[in-house]
This record gives sequence, structure tokens and C-alpha cells, in this order.
Amino acid sequence: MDRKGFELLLKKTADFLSCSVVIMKDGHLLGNWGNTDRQFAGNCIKNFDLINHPVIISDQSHFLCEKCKNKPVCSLKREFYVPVAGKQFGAAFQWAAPVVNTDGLLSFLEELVKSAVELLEAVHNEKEKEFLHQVVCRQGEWINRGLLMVSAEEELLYHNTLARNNHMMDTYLNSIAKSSESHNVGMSDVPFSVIPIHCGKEFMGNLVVSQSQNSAEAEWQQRVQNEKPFQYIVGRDASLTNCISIAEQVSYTNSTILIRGESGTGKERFAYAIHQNSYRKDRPFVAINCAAIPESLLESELFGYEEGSFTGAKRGGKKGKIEMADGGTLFLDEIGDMPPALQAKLLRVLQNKKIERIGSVGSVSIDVRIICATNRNLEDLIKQNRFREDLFYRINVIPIYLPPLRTRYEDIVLLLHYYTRKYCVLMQKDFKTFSPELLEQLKQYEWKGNVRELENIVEYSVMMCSKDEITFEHIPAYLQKRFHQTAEASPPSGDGIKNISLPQAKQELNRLLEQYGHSTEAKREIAAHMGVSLATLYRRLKKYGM
Amino acid sequence: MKKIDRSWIMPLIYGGLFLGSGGGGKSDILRMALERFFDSGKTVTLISPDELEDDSYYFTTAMMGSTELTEEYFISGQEGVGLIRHLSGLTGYTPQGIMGIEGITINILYTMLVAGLADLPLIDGDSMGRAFPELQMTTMHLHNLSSNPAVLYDSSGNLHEFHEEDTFLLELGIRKILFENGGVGYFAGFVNSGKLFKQIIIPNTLSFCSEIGEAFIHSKSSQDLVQRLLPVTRNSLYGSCIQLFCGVVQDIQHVQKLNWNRIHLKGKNEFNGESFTILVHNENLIAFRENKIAAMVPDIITFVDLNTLKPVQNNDIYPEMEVMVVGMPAPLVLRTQKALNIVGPQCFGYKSRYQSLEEIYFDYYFS
Repeated sequence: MDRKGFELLLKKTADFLSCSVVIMKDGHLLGNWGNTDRQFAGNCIKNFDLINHPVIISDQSHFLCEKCKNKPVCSLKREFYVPVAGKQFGAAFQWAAPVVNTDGLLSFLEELVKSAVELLEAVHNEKEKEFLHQVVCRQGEWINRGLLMVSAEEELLYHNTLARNNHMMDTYLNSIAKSSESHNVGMSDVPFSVIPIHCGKEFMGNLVVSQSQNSAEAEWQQRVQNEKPFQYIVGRDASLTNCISIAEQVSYTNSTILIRGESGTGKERFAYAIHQNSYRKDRPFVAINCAAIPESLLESELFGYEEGSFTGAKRGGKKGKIEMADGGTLFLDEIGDMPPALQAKLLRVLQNKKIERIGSVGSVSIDVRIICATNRNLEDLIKQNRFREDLFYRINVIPIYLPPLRTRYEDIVLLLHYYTRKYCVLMQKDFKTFSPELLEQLKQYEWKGNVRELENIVEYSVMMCSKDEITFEHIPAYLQKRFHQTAEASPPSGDGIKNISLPQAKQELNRLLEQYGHSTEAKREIAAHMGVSLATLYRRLKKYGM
Repeated sequence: MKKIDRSWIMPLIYGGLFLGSGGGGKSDILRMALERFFDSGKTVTLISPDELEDDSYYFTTAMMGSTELTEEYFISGQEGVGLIRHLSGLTGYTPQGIMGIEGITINILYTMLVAGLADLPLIDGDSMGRAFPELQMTTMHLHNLSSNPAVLYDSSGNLHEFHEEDTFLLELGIRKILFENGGVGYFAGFVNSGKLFKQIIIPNTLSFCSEIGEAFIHSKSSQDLVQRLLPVTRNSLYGSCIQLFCGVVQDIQHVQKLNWNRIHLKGKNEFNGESFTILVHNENLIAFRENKIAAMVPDIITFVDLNTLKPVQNNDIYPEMEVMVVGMPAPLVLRTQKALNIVGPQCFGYKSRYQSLEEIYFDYYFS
């Protein structure tokens, strides 16, 4: 008999006996049939722990009724209590009208209850299991650690997003620590603990938890996610803060954004900050570099495919990146390198908000915010017929131009310090500073690779330096050579002023002041242009009475 | 080059209290003196370290002694002007600007007042980047700069000259005089060229201090305050501030013999049920959350009064007060191994390795 059949039997019994049936566990209702008065049932059933054999209550002089607070208002005329031995289960049969004949009824009800309890217990356990699974799934996303539940047969029962992103299952399967003893496994990038779970003596499986964060860190990590993501972009240069301000404003909308800037200026970081600052932040952020994927694969990567659409296609087909980003943000890096045929297809996606998998006859509606980025001059590519003009206008809704690092003079030192702190801690080295001479050279350097180049140089220097101060000997060879050449090169144009006549020098300074302006920042730029320090520039301005 | 006017006073007071890391001193008399100065139509010129001329000379000034006694003396600023004149005579150099030694309210305001009265530019920077109790805890000492000559007015108006090459010997000499003469004095010294100063100064601390102060002035809630402080601190040579704890002061214990204080907090809001302890030796030096290190000197550990949303000195902490504890990494120059030998936790008697805020909260700083 299945659960429904049994419930029907209990209901019929209740009807036939003109009573109500209540089945409880630990004071909680598991099921009830007939016209149960839940208030009384709840009260009566609390007394199960006082009895260990079936009881019939015929009037309120019974000791169970003596303790009941509902005694003055109770309308029950007769009750059968049937506890199940060895379990905190029991049933109550309650009559609101006098029962004439109860001969043989008690033993029948006792058998019925035993069967009922066994069945309901199984159902309850199933519900409890499902409930616990839901709890794990929800809580698993909050703990800020990678979490895996793996069965004894090494079947993945559950993994949270962090574990999935860090490929923890692969790492776990490849590790030696899969036995049923507790382990701390120090992998290079994802250290984790393996906690064996037993039920009695039986090994049920392992709980695998990544160890990267202590509780304080995890809490801060959570807080960081709740805070404004743009606050975590280093830089106070006006051109950068202007970009941040624009990005913050548009992040709340669905408008397509085109981020332009030289390589290494942080376009992807910006795109991610926009995503994190939008209402889509809890949905996927999918990034794809259009220049990094072979042209033949890009279409299937972006749009996905149906089963059997080409040789080697996976069974069941595959979702494309656009579909994977549904509800979230799709970041198309190096959009200028997208093949023309795909440009047309992407244009249709932008216009219709629908995609067609390769080999599919139908289309799927999608809700994706698209952010594109490029370091190419799209206008030139349009002239060369290598980029579609209509796509350009479609993606260039909100253009953001990230400034190159060399124009963010003030930020160079901030970024040098930021990454020095980061790599000193990462490499577990003492903190270091830059020698004044090196710092001056780094401030004047052109930073063609922008922030990425700066970060790499700092990482290299911190690794190579075992002293308190990073000097020329600790920086990469190409940079040493470059700075050496600069020192040997002919004196910069500024020093040339020394060799020209006073009116000429004054005229040159006047020209530069007109070009750059008179603010301190402008004077700093003039000094950089002349290859002299700001103090020298001030001295010269003073000397020429300017 | 900027012009400082009266509007800078309050931001500098709050910013200086923040950088003071629990130390500081009463600043009301200095505030009033500066208000009088600015109200007379004068301004102070603030120059960035980049603007120092290599071959010109610059002086430093400071108020020294017990911070608790500073309110008991009338400070005019003229003592400092007199000291600079005297030092100029001793060295033969005409100063082209003045720099403060310590980055806390009382010394920022004092140096500003002296610069204004002496009509000299004020350098945007100092040699501690925060508050420290001793003269050798300066970047001058760190770079082995000579402290000869230096001059001091004690609180009775007596002028003292020092010709010590070593900063620690200078410190001892000054302490002896202050102990015998009222506990407070005015100092000028560390005469150095612009070229040298540019290499040792912790730059732009006054501008930074003012920006921090502005965040305190305009904040509307503790979270708003943190949100305002974050961009300012992150885009500085220090590093992002971090809310270390939020709670109620339970008790303050004085360990007289060792001259340490211990402040216990009981957590509230998201820190409910947790405990926090701060060890104080003039400044807030070490913080523990649930008996684990939460922050250490030379990183900055500051109390913020949750009722006023303003930074407070540890002298002004009282039981049942609701506070937030905010940390901020110190500039790198104060945290190299050499610097930690001078200003690290071991220099105050805490025999343990320095753990930076970035190390303790790595993901917060570098996620």
C-alpha cells in the first residue's frame, strides 16, 4: 500500500469510527484525519512521554487530563492513546461524542498505528532530506568557501559556485586525500579540508571545504560584495574618476556599453565592476575574448549548437556564452577582432534579443546586458570594411574611454604602492619601498602596457628584492636597459632651455603654459614634458619672472 | 601649491585625530589661535614635496610632551617663530618652508600656525605619517639624518640648544628637560635640504588628513562614514580603511607599572556576541578580536564615537560608550623590516611578529 492508499484507509477509519486521528512525533503533527481539534490534539499528544502502553481515556478524571490546561473547555469524550514502543511517535483517536462499543477496537487501532507510523516516518524522512538538501544548496552559496559533497562512490552530490569556479572536484579527485580520515590538503591554489561523514560505522562520503579564508576574511569578503565595486578601483586621476562616475551611472541601466582603452588599462575589471554594481550582479558575468578564440570556434562558443549540427558536436548540444549569460552580463573583449560574419549575427542578437543555436530551427529569447571592449580604432576598421558600421552604432551607446596610465601621473605611485603591498603579502616577504631614483624614473616611464605592465614589474621586483628598498637592479632587464638608455641619451628638451637665450626660454615656457595651463597639475605635466622636476620648473618660472 | 584658509581647520582636526591612532592632545587653544590668524585675512601656503627646491633648506617644528597638559598652556605660535629664527642663526640657513614631524591634530595645527606667523610655506607631509611617542620614530631617524642642531623652548620659556647627532640622545635630552619643566615644550630642528627632504618625507599627509576629516564631517551613519573613507584611503599611500569592530566599551584596565591600558569592547550589530580588546600605550597599538590579532602598530587603529561619528582619542573613551574601531594600513615606508625595528610592535614591548592588515584581511584588500 502506498502513502496515499494508507492515508485513505486512515480517513475511512476515522469516518467509520466517527473520530479524529492524530499522528505526532516529538509533539509535532505528522498527519491528521477526521475532524481534528488541533488545539486539543496538540495538548494531549504532549503527554506521550508519560505513557508507554495504549491508554483509553473515558472521562476527565484520568491523570493525563489532570495535567491538561484545556481541561475546563475540552469537548473530547473519549480518547485512545497509542504510543509506538521505542519511538517518539504516537497516535491519538479522539471522539467528540460518547462511544458505545469499543470491544476489540483497541488492538485493531494499535496495529493500524504501527503501520501508519512506519509509513509516515519514511515520508517525513524524505521531506526532511529534501529540506536539508535545500538548506545546503542555499547556505552553500553564502559561506564564501568552495564546498563539495561527495558520496562514498565519489559521485558529486553537491557543489557551490565557488567550488565550481575553482574546479575543486577535479582537484579533489586528483588528490590523494580521498580516504575516510580528516585531511588538510594544501594544493597550490585551492587548499581544502576533507571531512569524512559517517552514519554509524558506515562511511557515507566526504565534505570538502576550501580553506582560503578565515571567518573574518569571509565576513569582509561578504561585505566587499555588498559595497560599491567601483570603490575598489585604484586611482584618483580626474580622467579615471570621470570614467568611474559615468560607469556608475549607467550600471543601473541595460544600455550597451563600449569600453575603449589601450591594452592593460583595466577594461575587464571595469566591465565586472559595472556588472557588480547592477541589478544583474547575482546573475552570471560571462567574459569572452573574441581575439583569443579561433574564428571557426567563436560562433559555437557564442551561440551554442544543437545535437548533431556538425561532426564532433556533443550529444544534447551545448549552450553558448550568450545563453549562459542569460539574466546577467556578457562581456565581449576585443570586439574589433570579431569576424564580419559573426558581427552580423551579433547585431541580430542586439536587435531582437533572441539567439539561434547552430543547427537550430527556432530561436531562444535572452535577457543579456552586453558590454564590449576594444583597444582598436573601430572607426578606422569601419573605413577598412573590417567592422560593421551598424554594429558599431549598436554597441557604441555608452562609450567609456579609459585613460592610459602615462596620463595618470598621480596614480602611478599609488598603483606601485598598491601592488607592492599585494605581492609582498602574497609572497610572504617584508614590505618594501622604491628608491627615490627608481621611483622618479618609473613616474616618467611611458607605461605602454599600462596597469598590467606596472603590476608585472612590481611582482617581478618584489620577487627579486630581498632588501627593504627596490632599486634598479631588481627591475626587469628590459626596463633596466630602457632606463640606462634614457640616462645616456641626449639631455631632454627642457635642459636645452639652459643653452638657449633668455627670451627664447621664456617664450618656450610661455608656449607650454598656454598649451597645458597654469594649475599645479598642468605644471607637473610641463615638467614631465621638459624632463625636469617640478621644483626645477618652479625655479625657472621664478627666474624668468613668470 | 595651495592656499590654506579657515575652512581647513575642522577637517584637519578630525583627520588628525584619525591618524592619531588614539593619541593626540587637546586642540581647542590651537584651533582658536588659527581662527584668529585666518580671520585677520591671512592664509598659509601649502606646498607639495615635489615643489621643494633641491638646494634650499627647510626646518621642522613640533609640540612635545604630555598631550594631557597641552590645554594648560597658552600657545601663541610665536614660540615656534622664535625657535626658527634661533635655528636659522645657528645653522646659517634661511628656511624656505616648515614641515611638521607628526601627523596628528595638535602637531598639524601647531606647525600650520607657526608657518603662518613666520610667513613660510608649509610642507604637505611629515616624518611619522601618524602619531608616535618618540623622536626616533621618524623617517629622519630611519634614514640616519643628523639631529644636530635642534632647539627647544620649555613651558617656562627657557631656550635649550641640542647638538646631538643621534636622535635617541636628542630624545633623552628633551625628555629630561620636559620632565623638569612642566611636561610640555616646543621644538625645532632637523634642518635639511629640499633634495634630502623629498626623499624622506611621507608625502601629502596634510591633504590626506583634510580629505579624511571631510569624510567625518559629512558622514550620516557609520556605514556612510566607511563608504566615504574607503575611496579616500584606498587612493592614498596608506591603503583602504577597514571596520575592525563595532561595540560597546565594557571596561578600561590600567596596568600602571607597564604603562599599558587595556580597553575591552563587547560586540554589537554584526559583531554581536564577540569580544574585542585594544592594548594602548599612548596610542592604540594592538587589537585582538576574539583573542586573535586584528591589527598591529604601525597600522592605524582608531576609535570612532558612534553617537557623534567622529574619531576619538583613547583618553576620551569611557565605559558604555558605543564605538566603531577602524583600521588603516600605515604607509610602506613605516613597515619595511628596518622601520619595524623602530616602530613595530616589538618596539613597544609586544614580542611578536608584525602582522599587517593586508595579511590578516587579504581578500578584503586584494579581491
